[in-house]
Amino acid sequence: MSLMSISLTALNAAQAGLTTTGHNIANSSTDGYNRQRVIQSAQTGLFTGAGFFGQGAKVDAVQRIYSQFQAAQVMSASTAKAEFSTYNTEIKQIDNLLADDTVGLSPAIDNFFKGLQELSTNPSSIPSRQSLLSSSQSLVERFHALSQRLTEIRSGVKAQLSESAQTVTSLAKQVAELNYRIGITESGGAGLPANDLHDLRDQLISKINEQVRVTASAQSDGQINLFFGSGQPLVVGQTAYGLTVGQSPTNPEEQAIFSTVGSSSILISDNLISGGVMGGLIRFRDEALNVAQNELGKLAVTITKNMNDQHALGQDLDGSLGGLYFKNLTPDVKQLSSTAAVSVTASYTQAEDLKSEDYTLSYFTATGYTLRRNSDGMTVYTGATPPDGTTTDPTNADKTLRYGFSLTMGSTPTDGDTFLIQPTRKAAESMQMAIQDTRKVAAAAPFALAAETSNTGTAKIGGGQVVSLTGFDTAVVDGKPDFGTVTVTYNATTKTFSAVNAAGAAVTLNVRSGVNTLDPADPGTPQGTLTANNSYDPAIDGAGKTFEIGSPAMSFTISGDPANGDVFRITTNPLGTSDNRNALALGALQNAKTMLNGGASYGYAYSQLVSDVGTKSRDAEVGVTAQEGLYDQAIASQQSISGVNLDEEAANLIRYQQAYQAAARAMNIAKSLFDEVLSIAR
Amino acid sequence: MRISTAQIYDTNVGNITRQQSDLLKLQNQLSTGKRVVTPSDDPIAAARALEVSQSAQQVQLQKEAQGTANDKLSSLDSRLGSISDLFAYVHERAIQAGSATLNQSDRDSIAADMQAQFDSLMSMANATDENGEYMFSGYKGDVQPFTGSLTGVSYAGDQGQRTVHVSSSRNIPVSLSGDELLMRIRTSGQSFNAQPSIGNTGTGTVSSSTVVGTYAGGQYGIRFTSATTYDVFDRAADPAMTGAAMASGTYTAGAPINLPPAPATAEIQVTLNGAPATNDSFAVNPSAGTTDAFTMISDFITNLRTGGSGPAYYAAIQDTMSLADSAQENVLRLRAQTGSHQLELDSLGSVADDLSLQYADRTQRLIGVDYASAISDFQLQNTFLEASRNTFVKTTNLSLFSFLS
Repeated sequence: MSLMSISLTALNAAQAGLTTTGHNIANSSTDGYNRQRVIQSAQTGLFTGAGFFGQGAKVDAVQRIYSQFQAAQVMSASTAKAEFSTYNTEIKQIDNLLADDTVGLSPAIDNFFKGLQELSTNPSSIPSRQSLLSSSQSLVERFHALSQRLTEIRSGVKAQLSESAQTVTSLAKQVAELNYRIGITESGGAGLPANDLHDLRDQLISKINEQVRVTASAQSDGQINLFFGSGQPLVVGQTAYGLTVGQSPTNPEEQAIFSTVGSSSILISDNLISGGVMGGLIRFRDEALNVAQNELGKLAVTITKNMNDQHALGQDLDGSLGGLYFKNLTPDVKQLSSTAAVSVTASYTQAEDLKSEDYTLSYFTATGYTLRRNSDGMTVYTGATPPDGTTTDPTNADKTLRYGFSLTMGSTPTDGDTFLIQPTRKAAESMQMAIQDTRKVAAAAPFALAAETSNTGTAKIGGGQVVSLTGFDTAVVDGKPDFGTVTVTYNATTKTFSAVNAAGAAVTLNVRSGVNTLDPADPGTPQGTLTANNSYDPAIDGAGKTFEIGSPAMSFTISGDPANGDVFRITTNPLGTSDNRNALALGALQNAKTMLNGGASYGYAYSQLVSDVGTKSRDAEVGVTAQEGLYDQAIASQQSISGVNLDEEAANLIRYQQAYQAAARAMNIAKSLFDEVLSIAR
Repeated sequence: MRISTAQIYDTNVGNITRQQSDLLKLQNQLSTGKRVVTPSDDPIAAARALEVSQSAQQVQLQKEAQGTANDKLSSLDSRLGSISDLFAYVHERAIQAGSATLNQSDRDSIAADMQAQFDSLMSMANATDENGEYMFSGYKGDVQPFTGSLTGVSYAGDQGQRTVHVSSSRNIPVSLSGDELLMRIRTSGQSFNAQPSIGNTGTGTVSSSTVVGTYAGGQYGIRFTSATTYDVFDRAADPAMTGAAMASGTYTAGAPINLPPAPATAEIQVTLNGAPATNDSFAVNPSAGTTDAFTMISDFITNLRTGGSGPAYYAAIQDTMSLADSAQENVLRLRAQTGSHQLELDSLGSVADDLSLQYADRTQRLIGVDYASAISDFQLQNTFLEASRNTFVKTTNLSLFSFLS
């Protein structure tokens, strides 16, 4: 072998080095590019009697500097980063919405109770009644606005899910295509790697991972298969399975992800989708959005129910019983699967028992009804009759399992029917005022108490609370209390009171057990038990004894020292325009612990929601920062192996240039040697 | 460790972006004065601040309500003052009317004066407040509470007491029912009263009357058949005292007369004094215990005009004086109550002021920015950013290519 041909191999090798260096420099800022280098080796020597003479260099391959491990790290970090940053972007929208001074619910609730306060100060004033109606209307509208905003965010999530599914589908197709091209390129040639196609495919897989986490498994033929979670295929060899978004089988209004091959599609359950934009969106929807909307709805239901219950016990400016203040709300029920449609009537029982959860009711002929909480699958009710939300439910001893609604089936469901129950999801958007007329606000109580002027004792009658509407409007049912007069007379000899109603019939006096006779959180729902008791000993009861009668169902308190024959009267209150007793009771709802199993007021419950969303948002922020850190580290490690360093390439340029120059020089010498030989002949 | 050139740029750009965003956040905190701009900045503090702001709002409302209540109580107090003055005046005129030197025309002029006082009391009792609601009609704010004339006034209101919600646990009463104010003037503490009849010509008076057994509410009449003898009648069965007497007795001034007379068990005793004339009579009636202020004045007027000048006149004047006292006492008691409510409002007001301050302070501590530390953080962040920018330019200027020529 001659120096000439050895120089030629050197020249070729140096040129290959220069080309590759140039390629590296050119792609120094190409996404997903892994630097390449020339693998060069010495040609096997030529054996002579004097031993081996080298035959120059040869280029074995152009290899990309690539670490499977580091690439996987980057991919995993980037899918987590995408998930957190999507979640964060979405939850930020709710975060600020709820606590805002101007658009949040808190100022609207405050204003509403300010209206009630004004009403209680000036119960007969039409302007203060109007101001209450206006502030109630703006509370309703604030609920609507917040709910609408959440619904918009929900449709945003839907749109993004579809978009993301389309992106994944198209990327999956490209991966399948690249699988094919890499296959034919590498098997057709000398078995050398198609570096740039590999880079491209890795880049595509990384992009898929930004949408949803997939696992890649490399095949011996250079092809890569992609799977979701526990093995649902996305790309197998040259076949791509598309993703589509469709109606969820467990909630007709929600969306689920389906994998499609040809015309068949298979549901991919939400828990298989993790990481990436899709994972972030689904987690946001299930953990934050649903909870926020349910919580908001729960607040709407509780305010509506409490207000209505108390308002019904009052009396308006025209002397009629209060009736509804807000329109009644009902839990949302959807039948999911059935052969025959069943009409279901749903209503709320105890507002304080409501949870911000969705439920699934299933019916089997053999076992009856089962109600499950969707968030954790916990069974909250089983029985032969539909759940009715009463405390006699077997599981109801545990307050955390109570669900606060009652269902009535129009007909017996078919074996295996399921129903989705969303007790509070739609409540905020459905809230409505029931009255528009200022005179219809029930600020007064439907009764008046009086001590007869001729009484000679010093006893007073006071207090007074409506227990329920029983017996208030019975003679002519026209919405106006008409029980007439109940006369209560004291007998000093027996130390007892006796009562007769307008018709002259005896009325039983009772005492309700327990200190707190009526739960302010549940107007119209008396607690404790009644025992007949009409004794009154001024020495013992002088500070005040509260009696309760059954018709009209109300309580009153007598205190002081009555003389024998002293008379007290309970009458209707048709002209009580300056009476603010019911307005005060309505206003007291502001601080009544009517929510979260009777442990929180409206304001507190709302601040819990703000805090909950804030905490999730905070977690997401921290998560994003952490994932960015991890991602940066993974990128740094990966780049330290595969990244292009221009200084290094500059050095390589000089190196290969010099090698090239040296090889050319050697060739020049070979030529001049040859010339020497020729010159001998000249 | 190998560093790729792209990484130098990416890392530096990333760092500068992060520092800029931190800087913006600090700048935002400084310009809004809030450390917690969105709840996620500090969820716990944000939720607490929300609760505190609700409490602060409630205290603010209560302060407004306290103002309203105070206004209402002040106006109530001034009305009560006028009514109390009126009763004092009635009392004063009754003393004048009790003078033995008055002739009928003097009494008539006092009666005319009292007629004017009667009308004035009527208009005060039917006073309305700034909303046009009657002040003394209880819950029936639109119903005129007192109607009638000298012959009788009736109360159409009820016994409701209007209240204002002035603190989380207190609804303070800001009105009085006319019933309590004017319709329940306590007469003598007795369950019965004994009075000389109008038209008596002697000087007999009732000096004392006591309950000795259980008074069953009987009505009796004592009529003198001579200066020293009398008959006792059961006026419940025989109001005109024309039938048979229950018993007869001998009159001794200062000696108690048992009623009902023996053989029945005595329930009450009436003691007469002075020298009654023949046919003078005294009536014993169960007492209602209370009367109303209008009746008090109209009785006074009737007495002035038609009572003559006998002992019955003076006894009635005596009654008027004690009733006017009793009426004034009643008003003073209610005024004292009003005053104590106003005092209570004062103390509630200072509690509310304290709370407002505390809430403002707590809000500031929860979500307010600490300017000293925020400004120093801002400076620090600024320095970091400056350093990043300078070093970035220096680092990226270093390139082997710049030495290749």
